[in-house]
Amino acid sequence: MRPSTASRELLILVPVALALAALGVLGNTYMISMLVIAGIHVIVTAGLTLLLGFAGQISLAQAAFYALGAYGSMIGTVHLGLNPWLALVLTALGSGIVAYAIGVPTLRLHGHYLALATLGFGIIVNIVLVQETNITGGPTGAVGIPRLTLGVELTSDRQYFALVWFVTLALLLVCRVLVTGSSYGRVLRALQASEVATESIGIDVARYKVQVFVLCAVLASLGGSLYAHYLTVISPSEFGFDVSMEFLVMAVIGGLGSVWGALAGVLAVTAFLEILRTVAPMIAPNIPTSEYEVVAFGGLLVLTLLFFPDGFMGRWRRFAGALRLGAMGR
Amino acid sequence: MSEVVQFLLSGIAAGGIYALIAVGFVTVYNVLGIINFAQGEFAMFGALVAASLVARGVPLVAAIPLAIAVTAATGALTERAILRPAAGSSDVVRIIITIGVSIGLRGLALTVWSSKSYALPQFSGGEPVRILGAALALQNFWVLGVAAAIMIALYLLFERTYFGSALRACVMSPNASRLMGISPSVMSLFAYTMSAALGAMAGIVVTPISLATYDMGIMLGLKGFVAAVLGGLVSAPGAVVGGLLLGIIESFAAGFLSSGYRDAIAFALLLAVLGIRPTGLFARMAEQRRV
Amino acid sequence: MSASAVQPEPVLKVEGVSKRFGGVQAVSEVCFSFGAGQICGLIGPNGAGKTTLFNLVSGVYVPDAGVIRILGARTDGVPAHRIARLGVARTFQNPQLFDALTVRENVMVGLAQAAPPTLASSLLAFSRRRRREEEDRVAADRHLARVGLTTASDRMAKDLSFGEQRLLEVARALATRPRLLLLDEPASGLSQGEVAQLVALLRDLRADNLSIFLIEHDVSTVMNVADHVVVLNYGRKIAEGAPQGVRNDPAVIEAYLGSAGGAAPRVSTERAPTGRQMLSAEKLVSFRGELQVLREVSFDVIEGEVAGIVGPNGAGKSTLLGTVAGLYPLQAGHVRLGDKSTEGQPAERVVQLGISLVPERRGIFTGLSVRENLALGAYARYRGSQRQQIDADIENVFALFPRLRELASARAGSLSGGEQQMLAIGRGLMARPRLLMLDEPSLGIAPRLVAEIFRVLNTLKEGGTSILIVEQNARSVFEIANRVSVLVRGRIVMTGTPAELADDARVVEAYLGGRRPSSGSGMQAPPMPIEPAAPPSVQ
Repeated sequence: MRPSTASRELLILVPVALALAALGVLGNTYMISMLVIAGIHVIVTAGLTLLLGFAGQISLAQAAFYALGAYGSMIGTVHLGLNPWLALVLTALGSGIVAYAIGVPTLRLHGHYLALATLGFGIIVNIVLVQETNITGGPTGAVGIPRLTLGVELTSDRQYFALVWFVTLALLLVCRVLVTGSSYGRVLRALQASEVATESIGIDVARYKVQVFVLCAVLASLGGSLYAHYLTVISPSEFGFDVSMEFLVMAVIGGLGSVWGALAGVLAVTAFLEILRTVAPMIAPNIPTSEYEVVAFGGLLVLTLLFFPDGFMGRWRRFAGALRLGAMGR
Repeated sequence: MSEVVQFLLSGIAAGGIYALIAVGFVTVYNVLGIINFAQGEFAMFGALVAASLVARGVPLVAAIPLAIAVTAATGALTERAILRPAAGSSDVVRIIITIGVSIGLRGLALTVWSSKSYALPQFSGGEPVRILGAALALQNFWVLGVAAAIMIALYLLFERTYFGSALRACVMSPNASRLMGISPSVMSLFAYTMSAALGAMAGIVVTPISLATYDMGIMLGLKGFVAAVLGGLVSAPGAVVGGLLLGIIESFAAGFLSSGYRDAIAFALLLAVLGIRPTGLFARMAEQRRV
Repeated sequence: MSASAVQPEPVLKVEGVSKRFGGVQAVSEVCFSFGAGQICGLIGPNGAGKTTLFNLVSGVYVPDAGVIRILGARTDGVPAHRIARLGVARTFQNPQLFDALTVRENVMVGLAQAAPPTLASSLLAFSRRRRREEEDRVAADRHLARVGLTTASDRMAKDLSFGEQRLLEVARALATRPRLLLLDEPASGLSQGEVAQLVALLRDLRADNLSIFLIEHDVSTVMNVADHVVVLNYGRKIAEGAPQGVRNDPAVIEAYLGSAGGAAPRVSTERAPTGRQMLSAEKLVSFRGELQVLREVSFDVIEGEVAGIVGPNGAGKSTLLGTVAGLYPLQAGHVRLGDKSTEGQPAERVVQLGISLVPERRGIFTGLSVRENLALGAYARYRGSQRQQIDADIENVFALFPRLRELASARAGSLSGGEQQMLAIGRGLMARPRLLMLDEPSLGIAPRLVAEIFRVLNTLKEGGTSILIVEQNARSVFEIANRVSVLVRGRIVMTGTPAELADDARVVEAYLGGRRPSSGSGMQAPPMPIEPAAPPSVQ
């Protein structure tokens, strides 16, 4: 770890935290609720960023683990009457175990078998949510999920906003330390560079890939729990296959391998969609915005990958690197 | 007994559709080396274009080839404008690009056709056919006939024509085939265009039975993909068998078990195959192609 | 070499190991072993099965038959990371470094083998973690000092020179505290000075009782450093023993240079070449990855002649043909066929202009029939529209190689190596090229079939076909070529008629080393920067 690493992290963290604090105080209700959701999305996306970046694997079930988190918390609090925090932790553990069971057989193989398995798993989860009406509430969903408490129940959106972003930034920082400032992260980065070489050193590559996948699922589950406790109402359509795709898009657009990429990706996509919702009706008032949204989303993804195959953070890193070199030259 | 026949026949008909889409997956996978998540969207696109043409008074016999041509052209454009420029990127990036293409096409369809359902007339009028006590709409036989005809045509193309052997050579050894003068770029364009056309055909023949909507491509594409994986992902005959098998298993399971879980069956099968035999059910066949 | 009071356990013991790929027997019934503190070199001509055997030992492949024991434990069929944990470390032919890490961090990953970090320990146990980081840094610097990379320790691995990357791989391997080090062509791509530095390092490691097993194209380096040499040919062991004995073994010399006489009948009625230039290549420069393979190579082929280029493995012969054929990019230089320039054209265009390459290792389409393979050879000309013409040409190929007629409908992958080579040449002729280029047609093929193939080449030459043949098997080329050039380390070092070169001792030297040419520059190795304080880290 070079001495500049910690200061570089602060360089990103401090402005982000300040900007968020300002928004939290000044923003209107719409903006606050939008940012709460965005914060949750960052947690879920960060898992994928790690998985794609370090294990080189695609998961098509991120929305399913997000659903496990949300429904697990719902079942724990509504049906079993557990403390919300306890339900959240138990659900995250359970999601991790499920991910382990999927990861162990598929990640021992070379190729994109995890993508195939998660594809199947994700769709099955969604069908179960729709079918098991007694437990999940069926297609219309479940209601009456309590808000989280921290001494007092967090009833206002502004309180929840503060909680979510505190958790989000804390998790990002933990992931960041894990990846850059530890021997564990060094092994992950070695894995990313050359699997054969890592294996030749005597490191069980599959084991590390499974761990990253479990971490990815646990982050999604945590996000799902926060989501359920925020909205207090959940339904299966919020966790479909297309939602898994959207998380993937946010991860890739942000850039892989650095958890800050998840932040960049989610903010870029959220901002893009907001702008679209404002601008599109001015251009074509007759067509509902939701229809544009999908085209624009696909277009954004394709264009980003064509012009920035490493995502926005990748481009930023190169840009920053060039600046540093320039400064040193002088 | 009649129930069994009923399930079997409708299963085979559904399987034919899956097989058409699965062959498209396999062709693109073999030549471009990627899983094409936009495959199902081409089925949707072909079906909706055909339905619109028919609604505007174009006769069915003209509307079908026209819709296939439009879809194939869309596929060709996608390959040239989007996939070719990204040819140097990693597999993961290119796979996600196809996801972007699928989202974009779906959004385009939503904008043009909204979320309404569209119908196509049955290809021929007539009473449902009764076999051994089972009744089956005539269109199911069109599905079977079209799927069978296309499979035979594809077999002849791949195995019996000069161009087909060049395509297979390109799959087996891209560099050596370049030395013969075979251009991998041309083969990639052909493979992608052909799989778009195959998707369109599948979407068109199924529409008289199940209607066309902007989002029909998701499930159709995923099931075709499961069929391709069952067949080992690299073998076209394997994909056909995988498709039929999937259709039949799904039909029986849905009949005897809960119909609500019908769509889950395919994916449970996918998980089971990955757990037990990840190279597909017909690994020996697959060995001859690229793995 | 090693202290052998009681019967010492061999470090590596290979017993009757075989491996087959399709119709080709890559390694058959190889046995050898060597003891602690020795350097064992595995050599053999291209296609002899060296790499396959190396991959069997390192756990990449599982043998079809036979047993491999490392330090007494059976390792055939054991995954690579488990073999590594037995005390085996390896390097790669193309260095596989962790690009995004610093040089020191690369070595620290190697240190992780002793106790692979866990998720929990990395987030908790803060002070213990910090202490261990500090210890690892010190240990990593010690290993870097050992290979002479101390000053580079904070640079990014990807910014190192090719030679430094090789040294870093060795340092990373040493960090796992191995007892056996496997080196995959450690000298390839290194300058003479860097090779000398490497040799000194290997000797130094041996002095610490580390055992080393290496495969290497550069035979002279192996002879220079190894205690024990194993020679493979056609997948079989043909010689084993001390370097001096192996170098003078007639079977070894024959394996590398081919047998004198008997390859092809000398034809007396030689048709004179016309004198017009068919192919001219000027100052070709080409890279494979970061490695410069061709260093301003110039040569030409006269219409109607057979031009030969010979040289040891790794000299750049295949890259030369692949560059002319358009498979690899040309960084600088000019290529003309007749009066047309072909430089910068992709392979699929070059064949249309009239250059046909029969590639190294044949490149046949294994899943297609023999007839389909041949038909595709005409793809550049016919585009499938003139089937009768193609069939007539296939008949001509069958007349040249009657064996292929019998196999016409067989799957090409089921053919033996020699039959596949005939098929590849026949397929090359189907393009009716103005120039036919052959890349090592004798590679891995039984001598009887090599003679058969060279007989056909002679027939083609009589018919006036211009041929450029690249071979390691120099003596077989001497039998049919009008002119032969010798390529060494990406440069043509001499050109002449076969008669002029056949008795030139320098040709043998180019292959097997021996007395170093005195005229060479930079032969004197720079002193090795080895820190004397480095404690022995290898036990």
